[in-house]
Amino acid sequence: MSQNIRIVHYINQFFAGIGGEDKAHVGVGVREGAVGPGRLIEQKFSQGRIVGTVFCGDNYATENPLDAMNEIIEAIQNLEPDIVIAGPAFNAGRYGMACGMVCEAVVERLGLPAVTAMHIENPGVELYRSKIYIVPAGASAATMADAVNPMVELAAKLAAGTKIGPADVEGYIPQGFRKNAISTQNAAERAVDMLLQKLKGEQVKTELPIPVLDRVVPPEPILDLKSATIALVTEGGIVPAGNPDHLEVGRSTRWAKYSLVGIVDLVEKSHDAIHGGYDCFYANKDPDRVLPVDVMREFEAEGYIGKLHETYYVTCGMASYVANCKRFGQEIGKELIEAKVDAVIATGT
Amino acid sequence: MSKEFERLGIPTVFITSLISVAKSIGVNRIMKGSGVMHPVGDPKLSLEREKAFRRRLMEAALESLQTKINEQVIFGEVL
Repeated sequence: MSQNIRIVHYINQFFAGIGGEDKAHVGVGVREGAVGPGRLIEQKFSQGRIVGTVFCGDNYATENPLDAMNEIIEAIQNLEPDIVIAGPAFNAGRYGMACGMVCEAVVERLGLPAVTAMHIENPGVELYRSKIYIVPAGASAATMADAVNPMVELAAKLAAGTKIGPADVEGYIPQGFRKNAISTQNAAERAVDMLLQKLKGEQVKTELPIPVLDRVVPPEPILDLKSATIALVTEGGIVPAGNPDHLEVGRSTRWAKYSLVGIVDLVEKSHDAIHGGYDCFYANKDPDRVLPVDVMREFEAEGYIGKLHETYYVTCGMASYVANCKRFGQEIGKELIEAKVDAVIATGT
Repeated sequence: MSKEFERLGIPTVFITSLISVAKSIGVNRIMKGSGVMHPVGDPKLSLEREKAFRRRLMEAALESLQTKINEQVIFGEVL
């Protein structure tokens, strides 16, 4: 095997040392050699070296995906890699999406192998797992070493052109493809074996996992807006000034509700944006940019809507577990029904 | 959360910049927001024009809540 596999590493503005959410708008840049987590990757990847690191701000990459991918792919191509490694993105949603997009573009446009790593609940997994190799990672950068090792192992095999086996053997997240394989036992024999395993209380591995698709039938629309009560809900972390309930800025385990009685406009002094997943500068200047109370009050005064529900609900949707968000929805939804709210406008950052 | 509200029978529109995420989660009524940092605002505009812009977005959002749908729909070509 060649000792000189050329690796290009893709990371976001944070891991490139440019800055946090306040720098998430930065465009595409290139650094020579390994940067940040790339150093660990290089250390583990004995057969290769990182010839360059391409980085991009998470907002830039996800808000302008076409431009961003063109620029990123051009930067990657100029470095003439044999393989591209992206991330790990952990449970950072936009970073995970960017890593997925980059790997997909590398495979499709450059015809090169690519691999990334992220937490199983990162939205990038659902969007890209069928197209690229994604290795499972922990939720935060504290699990860096655990994520890098399997990612490097898979990358080394891909770079060497080794045939990649099934997901549970190679350690990547299942891509949802079914591949035919020859078995020495016929189906009846295998079925009886499984039944016997089940009877013994042993772990049984199905040959045909059924994908779980959770879809909701859309409810009936509002018929009369003029008499409807509309509630505002946000995952954008808009709270009364000082965050009186110490709502978490991310990895949320709870939600909060606040009164809108007597409030016609959210202003810098009255409310804060505390979300840990985006740069809150503009939302702090005018919280209506995330929770549009001003416009809803106008609609109410004009009789365009019946009324704005006098309570709004808030959480911070940053790296929060889907199971928790689902629970928030059930708990808040129950209150909305009791309050006879007709419809909800929810905003996300 | 939006999905759970709809499961309970409350029509809900989710305004977000990350349309693909909302799609993959299975949100029914999706509307494109103006940016991650300001889904219903645009700090590049003057305050007056920004508010007019927010009105248009919110009108589109209310429109989506009055629309009968049978499956996932992305609403509002306001942007």
